[in-house]
Amino acid sequence: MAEWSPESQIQEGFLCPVCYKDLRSPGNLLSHFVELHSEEQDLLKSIKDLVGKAKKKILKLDENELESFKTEMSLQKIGIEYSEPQAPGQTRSMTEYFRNVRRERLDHRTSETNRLIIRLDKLLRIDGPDRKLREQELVVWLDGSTVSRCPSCTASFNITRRQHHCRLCGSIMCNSCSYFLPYEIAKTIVAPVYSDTNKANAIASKAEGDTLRLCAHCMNMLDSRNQAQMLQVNQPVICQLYMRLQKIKNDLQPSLELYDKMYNSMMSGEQTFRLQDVQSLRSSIAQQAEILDAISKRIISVPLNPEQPKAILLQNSIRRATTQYIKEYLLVLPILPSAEELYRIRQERLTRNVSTSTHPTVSAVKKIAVTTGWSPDNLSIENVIPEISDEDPLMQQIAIVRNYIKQARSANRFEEVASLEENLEFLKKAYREQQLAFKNDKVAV
Amino acid sequence: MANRTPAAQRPNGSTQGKICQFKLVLLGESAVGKSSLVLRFVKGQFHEYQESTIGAAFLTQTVCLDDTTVKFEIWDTAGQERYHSLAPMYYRGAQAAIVVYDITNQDTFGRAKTWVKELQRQANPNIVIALAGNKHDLMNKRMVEYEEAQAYAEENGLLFMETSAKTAMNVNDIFLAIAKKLPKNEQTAGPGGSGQGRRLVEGDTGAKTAGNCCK
Repeated sequence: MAEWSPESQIQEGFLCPVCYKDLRSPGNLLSHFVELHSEEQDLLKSIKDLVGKAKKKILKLDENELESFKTEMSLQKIGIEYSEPQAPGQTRSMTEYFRNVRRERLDHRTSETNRLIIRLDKLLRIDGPDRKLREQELVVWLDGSTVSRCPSCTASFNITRRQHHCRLCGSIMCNSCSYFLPYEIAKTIVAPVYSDTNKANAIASKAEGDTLRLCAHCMNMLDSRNQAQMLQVNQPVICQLYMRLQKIKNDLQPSLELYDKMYNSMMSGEQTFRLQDVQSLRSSIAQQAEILDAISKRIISVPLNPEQPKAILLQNSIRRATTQYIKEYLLVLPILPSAEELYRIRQERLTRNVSTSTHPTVSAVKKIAVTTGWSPDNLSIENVIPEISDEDPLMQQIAIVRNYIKQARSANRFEEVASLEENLEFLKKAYREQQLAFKNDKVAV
Repeated sequence: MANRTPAAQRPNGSTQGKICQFKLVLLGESAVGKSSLVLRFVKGQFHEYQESTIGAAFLTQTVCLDDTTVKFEIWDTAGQERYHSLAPMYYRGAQAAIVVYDITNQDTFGRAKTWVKELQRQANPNIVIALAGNKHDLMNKRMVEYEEAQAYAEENGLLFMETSAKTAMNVNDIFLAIAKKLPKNEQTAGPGGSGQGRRLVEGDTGAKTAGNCCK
């Protein structure tokens, strides 16, 4: 190769930075450099860097990806060299970095896709005989005179193979490398969720069967956006069913705990809960169990995609897990005592000596957590008792507490129901006493 | 003996230590902020224009102190005079009471003192009483000095805090102070009970039921 001079044209290749020879391969260049210019150590270093960078570029690997790949490799090596388990040394989370890189890429892609869609929307609104002209106003077409070959298949353009332009980005390709986007599909792509009628009509007036010519890149962008959207909207049936299944299971958990508590309280003879409440809770749990069973059956009968051999495994596992869950947690609920049995248990307890003294303790408390409380909806009281708002406060309060009991029961807050019922009794008693006193007064008068 | 854990815990259920349930009543002149105080404690909310309470409102809140779960059943009574007759029904069975006054209104402090007196006379003798000087956010309109209330509280063995439902100052603290002061030992016998010592068998009078927990 000729010596390099600044005036001549730019040369490419594995050029020696000192003598500008093209050595044709990185290995040759390196050995050449070590042999002839080894005294210039810092230069050697720089050339190594250069070669390294070139390598990366050649491999089309993102520098960062290579870096992380390297660190991963070195980590693996360490793992091999030291057979004994080691305590992890210095670690660094690269998640944030990864997220940044990913975000940048996604942002770029999204903005590009959005630009395409905005253009597509504008293109779709263009109508009339001068359509081609106006399309070109919107998207500047690449000047075809300097393009002799199709950029994607490198076939040369001639009379039979004409140049074509992508309507979205204006780039050039041949007919066989073009993609065609039917207007109907284009309309659905640009259609916002809340489509105003004017726009929809304007688009609808387009001749049916028309298509837009697109390059592979733009088509790909639109396609992947479409797919992402579809994925968001249409989750696989199995996922939907499974989510419902999990939700029911989660909702059941507090009911199960409550049932346990109610049952134990009842069997120990306490009067806290009413038998009907416990029974209704039990039957509601049984209902949920049936629903769970039905859903898991549906999951197993979802038609399969033959390309996903693991899917059938998943379906079976879900079904098995669900039956297991029902067996383990729902079918083992202890059976409630009958009213007579309950009465006997309570009588037994009455006779038992319940007096045991307690010593109040004040302990040092370290951990404190305040949960979210519950209260009946106060607003609805006004609606429930408008007619008695001027009445006796006692009557008013009885109505309020009755309403609270209703709300607490429908919210499955049976402990609260018990407290409220207790209060209702007090109120009723007070009311009776009041009536009695009133009568006596009358008699006295 | 008394430190029961719920007998049958589900394997994936949370493991808890003792569960104590206490009835707490709020008393005080009307418009001192009783409902606001509870609403702040139970739901973390504050309404600038809280409507006046009719009768008595019911709320529950659970507080965990270490492994002890303290469940408050709160009766928020109406401060208006016409509902005064209802109050005994609520403080009679209560293990704790918060008497609220408004630091910008001397009259409400006087009313609070009467409430304390009434509680000392007629409520459960072991009732834990807390005095709350509410509306601390209106400091510049203060009419009741902190020291005055503090001295009164000390004299009568009350917990005392100045609170603000609006800024949430000392709201949780006063409830927690009460929770700490309440005796945590359950005393009902019987296996696998639900941990509600105060609810006993039929035939007990309400007063006795209530008194049973705090002996």
